[in-house]
This record gives sequence, structure tokens and C-alpha cells, in this order.
Amino acid sequence: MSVFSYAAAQGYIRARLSRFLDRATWARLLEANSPTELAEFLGHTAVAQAVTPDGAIRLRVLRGEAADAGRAVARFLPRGSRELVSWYNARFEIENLKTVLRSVHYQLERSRALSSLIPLRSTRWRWEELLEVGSVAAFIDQIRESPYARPLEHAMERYQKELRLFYLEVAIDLFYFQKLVRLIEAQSGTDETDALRFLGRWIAVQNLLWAYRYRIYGRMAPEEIINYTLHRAFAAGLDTVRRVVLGSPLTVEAGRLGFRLSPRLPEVEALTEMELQAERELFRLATAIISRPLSRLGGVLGYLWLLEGEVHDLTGLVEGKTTGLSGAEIARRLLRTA
Amino acid sequence: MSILAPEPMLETTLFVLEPDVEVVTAALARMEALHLEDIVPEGWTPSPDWTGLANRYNSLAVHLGEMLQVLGCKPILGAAPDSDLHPARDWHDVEARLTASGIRVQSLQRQLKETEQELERLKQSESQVQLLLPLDVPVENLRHFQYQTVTAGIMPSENVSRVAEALFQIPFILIPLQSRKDATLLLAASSTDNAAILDRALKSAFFEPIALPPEASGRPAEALESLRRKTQEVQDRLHNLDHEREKMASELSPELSALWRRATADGILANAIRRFPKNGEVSLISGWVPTSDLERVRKAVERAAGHPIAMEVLKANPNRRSVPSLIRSPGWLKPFEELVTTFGLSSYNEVDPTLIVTVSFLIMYGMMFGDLGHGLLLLLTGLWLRRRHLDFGILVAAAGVSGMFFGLLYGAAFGQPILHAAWLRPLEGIWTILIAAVAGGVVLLNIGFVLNLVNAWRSKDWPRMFLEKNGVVGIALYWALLGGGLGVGFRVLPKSVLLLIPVLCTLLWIHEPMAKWIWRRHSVLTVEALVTGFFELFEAVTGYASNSLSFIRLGAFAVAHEGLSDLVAVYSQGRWGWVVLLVGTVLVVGFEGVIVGIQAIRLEYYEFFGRFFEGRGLPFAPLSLRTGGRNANMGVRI
Repeated sequence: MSVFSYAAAQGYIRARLSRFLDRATWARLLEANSPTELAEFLGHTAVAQAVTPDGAIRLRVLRGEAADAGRAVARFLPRGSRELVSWYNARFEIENLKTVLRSVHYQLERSRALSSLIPLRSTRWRWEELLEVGSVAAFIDQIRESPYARPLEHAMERYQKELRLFYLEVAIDLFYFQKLVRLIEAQSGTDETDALRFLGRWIAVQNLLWAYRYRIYGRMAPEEIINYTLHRAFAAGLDTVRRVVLGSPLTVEAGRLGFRLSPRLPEVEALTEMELQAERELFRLATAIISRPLSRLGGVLGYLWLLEGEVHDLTGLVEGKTTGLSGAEIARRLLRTA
Repeated sequence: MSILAPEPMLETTLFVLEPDVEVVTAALARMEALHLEDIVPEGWTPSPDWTGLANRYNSLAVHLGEMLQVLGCKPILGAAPDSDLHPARDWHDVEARLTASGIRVQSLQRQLKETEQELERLKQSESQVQLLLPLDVPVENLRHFQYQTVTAGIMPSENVSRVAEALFQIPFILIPLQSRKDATLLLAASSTDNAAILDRALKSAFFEPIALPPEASGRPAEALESLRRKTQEVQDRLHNLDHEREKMASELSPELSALWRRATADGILANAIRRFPKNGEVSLISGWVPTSDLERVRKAVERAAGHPIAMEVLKANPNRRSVPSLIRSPGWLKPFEELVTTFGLSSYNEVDPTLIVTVSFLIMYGMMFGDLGHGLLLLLTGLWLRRRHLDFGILVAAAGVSGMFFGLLYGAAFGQPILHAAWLRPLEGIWTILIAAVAGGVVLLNIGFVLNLVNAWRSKDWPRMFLEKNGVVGIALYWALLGGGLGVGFRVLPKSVLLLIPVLCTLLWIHEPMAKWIWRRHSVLTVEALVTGFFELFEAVTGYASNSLSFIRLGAFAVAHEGLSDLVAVYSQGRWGWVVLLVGTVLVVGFEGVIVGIQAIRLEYYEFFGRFFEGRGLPFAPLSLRTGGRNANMGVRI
């Protein structure tokens, strides 16, 4: 059945696979001698739209396109997986909501906030108008009809008392991931297996990272860490978080998830290493899955993951070239070298 | 004025000397003929001094608006002040005149605010004590535990189990008392030693504690009664203050309103001037002016400045996204503009389809709703709505007239075949009306094709004009499929005509590589273009068929309308027949009238617009002194 259910999505994805930058192009990009040369190279590739006429590189455009691709491919899916992929895609919208929240909270310049927004082609709001609201309360009022309003309202009292955006951001993140977990759990058969391999794994890693970040950077109390993390997160749920708050070392918990971190690394650096390892692992999985018949949810998730991975790597490349790193140094930080 | 296209625009730049900037800007704002555009040439800088002034006026306008609000008055939107405006110095006068009245209003405002806050606090206390009613223990008891921390409050329901997990290190009690929507009233307790942990856990689960009001004592029911008495006293006090406010409003509001209008208008000018780039003594005012207004603009600014002003005028490049669209429909067409603008505004390089949509909408509506009597009811409803100043009424009335016209063609009034049918009765000529409906759809789709060619020609988009699915190749394929199919079927055309179909399909399939080859267009890789092209070809061919057949609903609804009306007529024969007739007619006219309208709009938007119309136009929003929505491109909220 899945062969038929995923036929249209497969056609859509196959038609777009050639838009990914190939190995030869990557090798050439890494050899660019300056950001200007890099922009010139990029201008002749499939991501030319991210290069403005004055040579600036706007990778947000590519993220917008990844969001559009997610939305477009979701339309072709059977109902259950469509709901899952659509909600997974909502992360772009949430990212923009957080940008607006930050802009309103810190009273940032409108132009600066605008340039940080992901250009979403299909969205329920006019982001430019949201940026003009005078306060966080007014912002929540503007998005009242959306599912994000309730979790934000719950956190609003605490935000108003302490004026820390953290509470709003954590409320919206928890809301997003809790629903994602529920949608993954609602899948069955191969769709469930695929969803767990990509999204389940991703969620578990995120949850573990949160728990450690709250412990290391936020120096939060155990009860706070437990409240600000997911209790159901597949391989890193409540039991894992409890162990983290009681002092379990990162190497141990990362090991339980199958990561081998370099010994004797400070916890802060170990966190970064684990994050990179996790992203590379999913990138490898996506690359492998996309080269096989795509008649399952895994093909769709793999494609979306590769899109994000390419933007991730391009970001690393542009930032690396801007700060004067060599091609070899940049390559070590990319997902695709793994 | 062209009825089928946005007004031609001119990119206009005025070089204005510093002393003339104020008067020229004011003259432009009064004319409402310049849509400002932000252009900062190299070496020119915006005017920073004016940013401060703009902020000052914005604050003054907000302050005056608040004062008027305190007095219960609303500023009159839309009216521009009659006096000359000099934003560089007007603020002195506005501030001076504001001070005297301000003190009185502020004093009243303070009293009102304090009283309202007290009232609010008492009401909040009431609602909090009300939440405690299920507890039925003296409120003061909750404050006096020595060895226990007890707190009552509300938290998101889904967090109740989470908070229980978070408290895994301490003994605790959580008692959910009541659940409302997605929030739960909760009583939480732990030993005093663990109070900090409980507090942190509750807070991080977004728990909102119910602060026990100091004046509340006794059991919740008694405390509630006492709070209600106090609330009444404060309400009486507030009532007296309202009387005082009314007196003050009649005395001060005329002057405050005038000051508000002046500060707002000065603010608009200052906001505009701060955006003008400057180089030495010269400011640059750039924007879009409708061609027909250019001479008027030139004369007005020269009259305001008292001498000639250097102007640079360029013809608009139709493909520039930033060119605004100004549609100046004749008065009789205005009520129908919304049929198009609900979907989108024509871009500058697009044909404005309002006239065609109006005509086709009314024909489609009438065809589906043809009945002399029902149309008359709709006409009367429309006229009644118009009398209540709703423009929408004209659309309803016109739809009614169209329904009446088709009623004559169908020979039906209130569902009764009492007239001679000038054309046919839908129930007796089902096939005829269905075929006529599809034929009408084919005509409309072809108008869409032609409009697409015009749009492509206006924007010099040759691939779109010649090679794409709504261009020449697409139209030829549509006719090869439809005309060729019918012609061969009826043996009017030779079978060899059908050979055109694969040729045209191939052309449509490879349209992207061809465009790349002929016009040197930037394109994706050929292989990818061929894969995408195949899917697009498939979608185009199925689209031609489904779009054309979609119009069959015009005939189907005409048949359904007659059937339903007939049914009402049949059941309205007996003693209570008039009730059936009345209710049935209301149902037919009300529900079916709306459904038919939605169907007609759907056909316009999906089938017709899909052929040629994008509707991504930027509305022409001229610099204006009017308040309440005209300054869309000013970035100012008024």
C-alpha cells in the first residue's frame, strides 16, 4: 500500500534530488579563497537564489525553501504521516515566532528582525505586522487563533513577573515536541519505524541536550529541569532526565544513546561534540535512505533532513570563509564529511 | 483611466531645498498622489533630526489620544487639519496648550485609575475566593500553617502529572480540586523545609498561585459576601467620577481633538521627512505618482514652494515588484471590486479582471439561481442592505437582477412555471443546460488564456506567452484536445488532426529546456526540468479537462434550484401551505443563494484566475494626512 500512498511524494522528491549540491561542487566551494569568491561560485549552483545581486549570501532563503518543500511534500502523504510531517515542518514557523518574540522583548530594530525571519511562502501571519506589536502580551493576542497561543499564555504570568523570554520559549518548545511525540506514537508499521529512526532519535538527543544545558549553563534545580524537559522522549525520557539531574555524567548518558565522546573533554565541549555526532548520524541515515526506493515515510523525512543538512553545511561554510578558516578546517565541521 | 489595467505610474523624484521640505511634503500629503519609496543614493543620508521630531509627535499624539480616551471621546479619524502645518516648530505650541488641560485630565485619570484598580483587585479577590468555595475551610487557616506549606492555584492541566514527577525528591501532596478547559485548580502542600523545592517545581510548571486577599476572612462563602459589599461601594465611587468626567469632556474635548489632529498630521509629515535622503541642502523625495496626476503634483508643489522644483520623472518598469497598483474603477464598478481584491490585487503588470469577473459572476449566479420571484427577493434584500450603507448590497441586488433575468429565460417565479420560458425549463432540458454550462466555462477559460497572453506580453515574459500551459502551446493543446476530439468524434475533422496532440504535449513537456535554449533563461538542469515537465504536462492536461468540466455545476445548480423550488411549491398546497411556502422560500433564497454565490466565486478563483491572475500587487498607499488607515506605506500606526 505504501508504494501507492507515497507515489506522488516520491515523484516530487525524485524531481528535486538533483538540486542538492554534489561532491564536486562542495569540493570547489571549500576551495574558495574568499567570501566574495564563494558567493560567485554559489551564484552558479542550484542555490543561486540565496546570493543577492550585491554578492551577499542569504541562507535564510534556503531555509524558507526547505520549509516550502516540507509543506509541499506533506500534501502528497496519507493522512497520518501528513499530519506528522506538517507538524514537524511547523518548526520553521515556531522559529519565526521566537524571532518575533525576541524582537519585541528586546525592542530590536525592525530591519534586523526582518532579516532574521525565515521567508515562509505559506504562513498564517504577516510577520512584518507581528514585528510591529508593542508588547509580548499584544503579540500573543495577535496569534490568539493559533495553537501556540495557549502554551504562551500559560507561561505569560511568569514572563511578566521576571521578564525572561526563556519561559515563553520553553513553553512553546515543550508544546511542539510533546505534540510531535504524540504524532510519532500514533504512526504504525513502517511509518512508525521510520518516524522513530529520524524524529524519535532527534527528539531523544534534543531532550538530553536540554537536560544537560539546563544543568550546566542554567544551573537549574532538579525539579525545574524535569519540568522544562520532555517526559516522553523515546530513548531519553523521564528516567534519563532524572539520572541527569542527579548528576550522571554526559559521557555515560551519551553512551546509552550510542555516542562515543572523546575522553576528558569538558562537559561544555562534549555537548557540542554529541550534537554534531547526532546530526552526522542522521545525515548519514538520510543519505543512505534517499539512495533507495522512496516509497516510505523514511524517504520523505530523509529528504527533508538532507535539505536542512545542506543549509547547515552551507552556513558553516559561509561562516568559516568569513572568519578565514581553511577548507580542510571547515570540512571537519560539516555534516557531509562523516 | 483604463478599466482593464492599473493606472500607469511614473517614478518621480523631487529635488527639494531644505527650507521648502515642510511645505512641499504637506502639499504632497494633502494631494494624496505620491506613494513614497525608500531610495538612498550613494552619498546621501536620511535626515536624523527629523527622527527625533517624528518620535516627539508620535508621543504627543499618543498622549492626546489617551487623554481623549480618559474623557470618553474618540478622535475624529480621517479629517486633516485646516491650518498650515509646520512640523519643525508646531510641537512648541501643541505642548504648551496641552500642559494646562493635561493637569486636570491627569488628576481625574489618576483617581479613575486608582478606583478601577481597586475594583479590579476586589473582583479578582472575589473570583479567587470563589475558586476556594469547594474547600469550605476558613480562609485565614490557609495562611497559618507552621510545619506545612500549602498553596492553592491554577496550572495547565497537562502539567499536573509533570509536576508530580518533578517533585520526586520530596514528600508532597497535590490535590486537583477542579478542572476547567485546559487548566486545573490545585492544592499543593509539602513540609516547610521543602517549601523552596515545591515553589520551584510549581513555578516551572507555570503554576499561578491564588493570592489570598487580605480582606478575606471566614469560610469562603462568608468572605465572598463581604467582598461583594466592598465592591458595590467602590462601584458607586466610580459612578461619581464618571459624572465628573462627562462634565470635563464637554469642556475640553474640542480643543484636545484639534490638538490631536494637528500632532498626528505633523507626525505624519515628520515621519515622511525623516525618510528623505539629504545631501547638503537638498532633500530627495522619491515615489510613484499616477501619470494622470503628475501635472497636478508639479503645480501643487511649485505653488507651495513659491518657485519651480526640479523633478525627475521616469516611466515605470512594469516588471519591478515595487511598483504599486492603483485601480480606478468607474463608480458603478466599485461595489464589485471586492470580488477580485478578496483574492488579491492586480500587480502593476497584470490586467485588472474586475469588469470581466463582475459580468461572468453575475451570469453564473443568475444561471444557477434563475427565478423571477427569488431574484426579486434578492434584489429587495440588496437594496435594503445598500440603504444601511453596506456596499455589499449592490452586489446582492445585481445578483438578484441576474436571477430575475434568468428566471424569465427559465419561465419560473417562486418555483412555479407560470411564465413562458424564453429559453428552457432546466428540469425539462437537463442535457441542454449542462452542455450550455460547460460551453460557458470553455468561453471563460479561453478569456483567461487570452488575458494570460496579455499579461505575459505586458511583462515581456516570452516563455510564459508562447511555451507554457496557459500560453500559445497550451491553448493549442487545449483546442487540439477539445476541438480535435469533438471534431473527430462528429466526423467533421480528419483523424490526422489528433496527431497535433502528441506534438503539442512534447512541446509543453520540454518547455523549460526550450526557454533556456531560445531565450537563454536561467533554468534548473535539463534532466530535472524534463522530470518536472512531465508532471506539469500531466497536471496541465488533467487541469484542462477538470477546469472545463467544473462548470457543469452551473447547470446542475440550475436544475437543483428548480427542483427544490418545485418541492416547496408542491408541499405548500394545504391549510398550512403558506407556512411551508414562507419557510421554504426563505431556505431556498437564503441558503441556496449563499451556496450559489460561493460556487460562482470558486469558479472565478480556481478555474478562471488560475489561468492568468496572480494578484500579488502592492496597493497604492499615498502619503496622506488622513488618519485611520491611508498611510499604509508610512510604517506609522495611528
